[in-house]
Amino acid sequence: MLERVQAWRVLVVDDHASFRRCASELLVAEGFDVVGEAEDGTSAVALAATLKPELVLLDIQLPDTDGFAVAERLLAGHPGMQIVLVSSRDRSAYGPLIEASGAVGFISKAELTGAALERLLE
Amino acid sequence: MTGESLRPGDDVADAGPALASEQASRNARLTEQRNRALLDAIPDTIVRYGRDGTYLDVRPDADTAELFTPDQFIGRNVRDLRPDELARGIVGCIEHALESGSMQVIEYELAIGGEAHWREARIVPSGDGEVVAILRDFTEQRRTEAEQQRLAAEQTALRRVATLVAGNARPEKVFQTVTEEVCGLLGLKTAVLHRFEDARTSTIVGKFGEPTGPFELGKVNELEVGSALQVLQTGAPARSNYDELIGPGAAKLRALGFSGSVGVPITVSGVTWGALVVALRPQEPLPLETERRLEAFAELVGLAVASASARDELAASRQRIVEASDTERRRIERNLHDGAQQRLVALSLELRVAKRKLRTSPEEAGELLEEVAQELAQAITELRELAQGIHPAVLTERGLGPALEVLAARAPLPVELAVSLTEHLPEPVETATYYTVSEALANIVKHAHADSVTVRAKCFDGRLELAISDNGVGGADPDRGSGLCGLRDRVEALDGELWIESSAGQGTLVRAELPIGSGRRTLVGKDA
Repeated sequence: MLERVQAWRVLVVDDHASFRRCASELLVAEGFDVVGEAEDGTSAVALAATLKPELVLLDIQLPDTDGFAVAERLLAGHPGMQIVLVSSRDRSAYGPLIEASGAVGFISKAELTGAALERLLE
Repeated sequence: MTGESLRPGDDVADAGPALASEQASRNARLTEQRNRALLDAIPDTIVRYGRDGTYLDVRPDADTAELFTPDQFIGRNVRDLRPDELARGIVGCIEHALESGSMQVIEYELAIGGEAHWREARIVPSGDGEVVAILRDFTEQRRTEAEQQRLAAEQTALRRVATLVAGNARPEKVFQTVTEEVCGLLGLKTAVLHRFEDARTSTIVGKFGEPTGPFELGKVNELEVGSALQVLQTGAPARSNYDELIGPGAAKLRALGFSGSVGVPITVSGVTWGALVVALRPQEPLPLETERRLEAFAELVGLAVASASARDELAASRQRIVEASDTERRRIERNLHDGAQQRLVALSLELRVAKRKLRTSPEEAGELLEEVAQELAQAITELRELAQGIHPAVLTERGLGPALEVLAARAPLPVELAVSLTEHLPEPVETATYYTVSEALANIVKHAHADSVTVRAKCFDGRLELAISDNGVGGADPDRGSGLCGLRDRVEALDGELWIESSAGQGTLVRAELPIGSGRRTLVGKDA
């Protein structure tokens, strides 16, 4: 893995405040730079435009739309953006949809660690 | 039988001339007496005709004696007194009887006293150029036979329709068949079946014949005149003569070629649902007993409609049960996902943060672990409540009585329990009872403004009788609210019944009865 001089700039998108808080705390502790949090798809797209994160941690189940649709819009506007889908459900609940979404990968929320994220970003 | 026994003198052919003559005349007298006695013993009208059809003697039977006297006939000719064709037939028979010496029989229809009579004449030669005719009136028999044929045809037609109804045919098929059958039976060309929509409108749901315009299938009409309107207004059979009616409505019907109609109500659950109507054309006589015969068919139509609506009701109830179950599954999944699962996910992340902090700042790690412990306790509570919502554990473990006690204790108002359950109840009955009480209590808390509730449950005659009554404001609408509807489905699925009495100001009484014998519904038709 290439040693990054600067920490990844991350946007955390999830409708559950407890997850946003814990995920941010964990990622910061593991050397990521959490630049913002969004609670639904619309604010995620808006925040991404202003904050220009390099990485978006994107929950699949959102109140206004789903993570796949948000991923599509984000990638259309920011082609180099890295997107990692997360869910408290298992990967098998979504199967091929994850591959097709353009995201770099999927992490089950309970298995989220900085190391797991970095493996996907290699 | 031939006419020979009535010929005088045949048996004296071989006697000596004088003696023979005397003997012959005595024998002739005897024979005549014998014949007279024989004829007197016959109750029918007896006529003696000459060869040319002249009435020589007439002895009317008891019935016709009132209508004419022998004098009106004797000496006159049948050709002058009877219609040509009949007279020719009778004279032909007389001649044939005399020529062949054998009996001739002729049947004919004759108007007597303005009524059609069916008669049979048995004509036998009775002497030189004479015949005796015995006339028997078999009008009654003819009528009975015709009536029997008519009834048999009616029974057959009714059986065909009943078979359709029993086979759960679509009501539309029954409507069509009925209009066709009544036309066939009554000898009419047009029948329609109305379904009443409101106080003046009907839809044509069945038709036979050539009714056009307003009587096309599916047409919705405002009823202006006619027997369908009368049936709608009175709920009783009605006749309508369009020639006696005035106004554009009647003119329209006359223009369609109809002169009148007869309609009978179709009743479903005590309500006039529609009408079966036959239309008459000018010169078409009203068939005998039209109303009674139509009513037999209308009754079958009513049964078909009622059974179709019961089937629809059953299907709708099944659908509601399935939907309620799906909704419940979604709710449980959602609750698990949003509640306990999110909490546990967050906990696992927090534990990782705590682990990382153990070395760098053990104090912070300790605080974090304390938070984790508290969150875990909350997650456990949430899971327990969710499980309780899926199925009350006390019901499974301790049975209905204790479960009702828990429900009563948990209610925010005093609940008096009068529960005596002597029999062991099947699980579905216990569950339905529990949820009925639970839903009723929830409704009382939400809407009734009551300050006391009584729950009664007892087993009687193989049934569980349940009643939940409150002293609140009443006025609950049993058709509103998915809760009550869901309860009714649940109770009816167990072959039970649920009633709600709730007049404004009188409190509310929810009553249910459930058979204890079987916990499963026996599907109609499946075991029959």
